[in-house]
Amino acid sequence: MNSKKKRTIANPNPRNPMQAFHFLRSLSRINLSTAPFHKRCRAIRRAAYASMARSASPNRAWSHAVLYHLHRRRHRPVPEQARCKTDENDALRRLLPGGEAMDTCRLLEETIDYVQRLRTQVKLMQEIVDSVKDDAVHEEKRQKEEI
Amino acid sequence: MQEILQCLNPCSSASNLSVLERQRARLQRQQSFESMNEINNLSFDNLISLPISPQNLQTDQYFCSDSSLKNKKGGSLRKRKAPTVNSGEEEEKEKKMKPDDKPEKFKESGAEAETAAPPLKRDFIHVRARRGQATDSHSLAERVRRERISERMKYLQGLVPGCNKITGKAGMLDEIINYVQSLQRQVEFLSMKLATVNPWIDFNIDSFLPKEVNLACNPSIPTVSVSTELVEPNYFKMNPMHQMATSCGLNIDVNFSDLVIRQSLSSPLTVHDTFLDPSFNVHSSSWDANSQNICDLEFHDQLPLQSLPDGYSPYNLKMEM
Repeated sequence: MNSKKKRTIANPNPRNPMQAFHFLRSLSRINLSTAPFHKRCRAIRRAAYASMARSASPNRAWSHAVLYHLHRRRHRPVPEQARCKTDENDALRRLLPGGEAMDTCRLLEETIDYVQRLRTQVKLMQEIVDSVKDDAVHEEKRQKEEI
Repeated sequence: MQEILQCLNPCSSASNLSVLERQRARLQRQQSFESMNEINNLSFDNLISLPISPQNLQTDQYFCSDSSLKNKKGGSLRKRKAPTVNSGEEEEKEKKMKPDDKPEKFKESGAEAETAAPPLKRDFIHVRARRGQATDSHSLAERVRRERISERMKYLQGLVPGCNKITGKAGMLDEIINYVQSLQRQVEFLSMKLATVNPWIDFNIDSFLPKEVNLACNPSIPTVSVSTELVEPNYFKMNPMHQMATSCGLNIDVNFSDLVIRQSLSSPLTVHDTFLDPSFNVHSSSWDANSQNICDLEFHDQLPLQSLPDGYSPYNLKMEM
């Protein structure tokens, strides 16, 4: 009955399939909800960061920070002692979750990891969107033909 | 170390014989250390050892003349013996004739160091300290730190596209920040897009999973660890969807596990069967009733999806593969 073409997308990061897996699983769960658009939007975004963080190696501070924020649903609480550090890496610190309380060396390490995962996440999402669009287009065509 | 200092002491007597003797002894020792040092090479090290040459005399004379000075500095002339170097001075220290701020590439320093002083042919392994600079552990640690930072910046330069021309740290930082911001914006944008396309997609998304999951499944180790993750899934966002889930979640989960079981029977992987059992038990009662509710969900995934118990606590931060 179902003659839809199933597309499989390539894993943008073959070394880390878990990121894709987590994200897709969360996404499928979100899809099933009938929440309004903006809530879904936010939930997807949170799922993206969560899948990134969950597939990160556990000694990465940013992943813990991300999960902490997502879980507590607070908007970036900054621990008190961390605000003392002001140097040229301030902007990067603010960008990176949990970056406030790190020294420069560690900050750069975390940035590397964060950038890698962000990139993978973006590629993944892009691929999903693309393939979903393709499927939708095929679907419409098919329906038109049936009619 | 003590041997070196001992060598330096007789050096103050200006007899060539003693110098030669000392030099020969030192060379012998260093040749024996060479092999050890090569093994113990650190990433930044470049142990330079040249064959014996008569210019060693000059070397030693130089050392002689400055030995008293150097001794006062507390070991700046310390030659690096791999086993005795402590962690504070783990890198090579090289005596530079010119107090220049040349890069930390030690191989280069060997070439450039001899300009301001009598030609110092390096024929033994140097422990380097910048001339005229403090050789205490602080500056060394500082140097190590700076090198580490530059190493990471180089790696980031490779990661961030279009950074090849930028050389300064500040410029690199700006690029990195821009890149991270753009990536984050892209995530936002794509999540919006996904939210729009979602409602009428019929969850073809599940078809994406096999590829990814096959990658996870094929090596045995990730498979096992994936299972632990599944057993303790960390669905923080199940909370807002909880009410939703109670109505349709069970159906979904049932369907998933139903499909999973169906497919696991045909799957070659036997690992998952063990994980199917818990889900089997949980949903055994409601399978038949709900298996047709969501027939679009063709879940080709081979991994079992546990349904979440309702009061699920998402405190599991240890999520490693």
